[in-house]
Amino acid sequence: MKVLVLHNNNLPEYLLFPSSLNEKGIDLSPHPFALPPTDVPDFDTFTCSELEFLKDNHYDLIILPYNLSETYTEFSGLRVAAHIRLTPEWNCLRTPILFLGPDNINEIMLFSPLCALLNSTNVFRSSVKEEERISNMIKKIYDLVPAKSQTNEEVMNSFEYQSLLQYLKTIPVPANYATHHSIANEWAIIRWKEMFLWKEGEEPSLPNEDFANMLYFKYLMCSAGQREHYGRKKKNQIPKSHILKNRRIVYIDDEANKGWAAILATILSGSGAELITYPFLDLQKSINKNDLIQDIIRFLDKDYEDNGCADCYIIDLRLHDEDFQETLKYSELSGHKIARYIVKKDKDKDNKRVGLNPYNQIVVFSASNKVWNLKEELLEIGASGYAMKESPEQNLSRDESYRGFNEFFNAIKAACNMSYLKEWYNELEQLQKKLGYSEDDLSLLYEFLSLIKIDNGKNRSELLRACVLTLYAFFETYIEREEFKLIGTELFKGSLSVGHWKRRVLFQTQKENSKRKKYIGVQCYKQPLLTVNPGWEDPDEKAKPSQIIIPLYLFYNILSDDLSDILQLVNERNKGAHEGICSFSIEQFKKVFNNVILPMLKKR
Amino acid sequence: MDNNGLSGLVKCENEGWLSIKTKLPTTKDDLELELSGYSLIAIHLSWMAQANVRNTIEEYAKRFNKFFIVFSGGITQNLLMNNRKRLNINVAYFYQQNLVEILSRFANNECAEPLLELLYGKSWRLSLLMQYRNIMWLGGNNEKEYELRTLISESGDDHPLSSDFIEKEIIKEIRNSKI
Repeated sequence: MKVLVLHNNNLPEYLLFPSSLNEKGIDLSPHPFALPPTDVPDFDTFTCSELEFLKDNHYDLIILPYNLSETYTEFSGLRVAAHIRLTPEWNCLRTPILFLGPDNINEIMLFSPLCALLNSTNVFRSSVKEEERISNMIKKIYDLVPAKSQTNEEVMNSFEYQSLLQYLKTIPVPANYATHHSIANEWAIIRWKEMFLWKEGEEPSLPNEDFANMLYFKYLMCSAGQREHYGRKKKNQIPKSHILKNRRIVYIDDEANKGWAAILATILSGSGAELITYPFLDLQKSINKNDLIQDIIRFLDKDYEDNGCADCYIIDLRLHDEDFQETLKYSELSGHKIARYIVKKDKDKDNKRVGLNPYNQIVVFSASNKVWNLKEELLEIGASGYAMKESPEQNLSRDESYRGFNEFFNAIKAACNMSYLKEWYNELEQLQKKLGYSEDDLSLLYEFLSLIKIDNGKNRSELLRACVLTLYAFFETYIEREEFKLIGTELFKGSLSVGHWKRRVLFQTQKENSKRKKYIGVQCYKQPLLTVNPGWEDPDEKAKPSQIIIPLYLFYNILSDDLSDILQLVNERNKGAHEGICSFSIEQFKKVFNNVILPMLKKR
Repeated sequence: MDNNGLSGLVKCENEGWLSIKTKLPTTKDDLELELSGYSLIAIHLSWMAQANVRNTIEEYAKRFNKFFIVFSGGITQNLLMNNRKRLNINVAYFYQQNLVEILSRFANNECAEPLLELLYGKSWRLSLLMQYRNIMWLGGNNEKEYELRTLISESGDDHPLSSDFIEKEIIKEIRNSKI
């Protein structure tokens, strides 16, 4: 039988060197485990590197003292044993472990929370030190714990292993929230990596493996990682979307350089999007929080000056160590402040731009497990979407993880899909500057933009109807203000004739009831027509549709196809709220804004 | 650290025997000159790593036999080394209520083992007793046995302590202890 002895020269001598035990059929492998005296590394990291050899060796028993470090009551041997149990790659999940030392459990538990491990299956302890008795004990353990050919997965699903995890609940949770936050990040990275079964050379490179060594992290991996695995046969595909093609996406996250930037770049580039990442350095977490915020703002301003606004901004909320203070208000988080900068546009006292664009699209991407009133808070920021980096405590199944990923992907898609709003805002702003429109002239259009911005796919009919009413009000007031008059077959602006029926507009009408006619179609002709098809007629100068549509055609040269949309808009406006769902679509609004409103405003 | 502890540290600073620093020089000579006025140094691990002065401070503290504490939220296992002169400690343990008291007693030469006390509080003697018992269980190590005995024994006895005495003392300390 093969016996591994881990020691720091603190076990009886016959266990430290090949000895007479070998003659009794016990093949001893002593392995010194001593922390270096200077430049002391993290204990968990050291343990992992020191025991890496377990991966390639099989042992029937592991013997070690309660402590392997300099100060006895650290009981670091217990921590090493916990690592052995929580590292499936070492293949010692049920290998018997024998602790030797003079102490009893009641004494040890005063110093080490890992004492509970001593109660778990296949863990033995003894205070005897005589060679003969130890040799007999080793043989007894060998007989008592028969070797089983079980896969790690089978062991981990066994009752004994689940009980062990209960005992190991005592592993101390990292003391501060920042570390905890980083663990959640690391966990999510590992999950996503596993989700897409990235192979060597295919996966984005993840520079930081420190957390994988942390005992608490291993515990989370073993306990929360017990849910079913992704289907082995079918690889989860990274979704692709044409919506993301040629989009620019800016990413601000203190954990970006820990692997997230690489992962997101891999995922988004598959759809043809470009990820621009704020180059976050660890050192920045320790500089003044305001300095960090100002540095990120400089980065955003530079990107804006060079390339204009991005199509989507992905932001983590906690970017600085101070953001982890328990008492901090949500609005004081650095990510919150950055988000507010991205969605505002103002001028300072020197007439310098402050902020980027109120219609920028933000997706909050956070490992936060803080309970806030998220919906309200996100609205306050103006975020269009939210995706949570999953954390081990959630104990999500693989399917749930995949759904979570899809939520994230869909949030980015939705944000990019709405990025036309920022262009519209820019256009309106430029028109105000160049053609002297007042805020008041365009207020209904800004209101329309604000309505579209809150579109989240829910209560869409109500939202679309509100958009219809706002745009109709804009056309009505704008054309009224321009003082167009339709008299007979002539169109006047003030007292000036601006159009006549050499070009001809015909409306298709339908009788709705005995009093009203409904306009259901519009056709424009560049030449006079000799005959008119049945059901079509010249415009009625008193009817609202013709008062709006005729100037659009004759004065603003709007095309016939686009006028049909305006006619539909007018008809939607005239429909009662009770007359079913709004049939005017977002795509039609886009057409109306680009093909009708902008040309109209440009001709001043 | 809780507010009581923090105000305690500020009070210690006002008394003149404790300095709270948010910045230190980063060149070797300036750093050593700055640290030379202190008997106990406590530094956050991240600051040392970022300022790239970890080795300089480690070597300096060892060369001049200073008590040296490295604290961080990322330290997973508290480790007391170099004959109880060097401590790696998690922030949660470092910022405990009795930090001020221990430092204060150390400044007044009333606490010979400040790092051991910081780590184990009232159970510091129990820790030494268990370490002593383990040495004896292994067959004794003269040098280590003597060093521990001088810390444990109150009688100044010149012989190794008996196992009976150790067991009784352990039980006594367990009864008194509050870790």
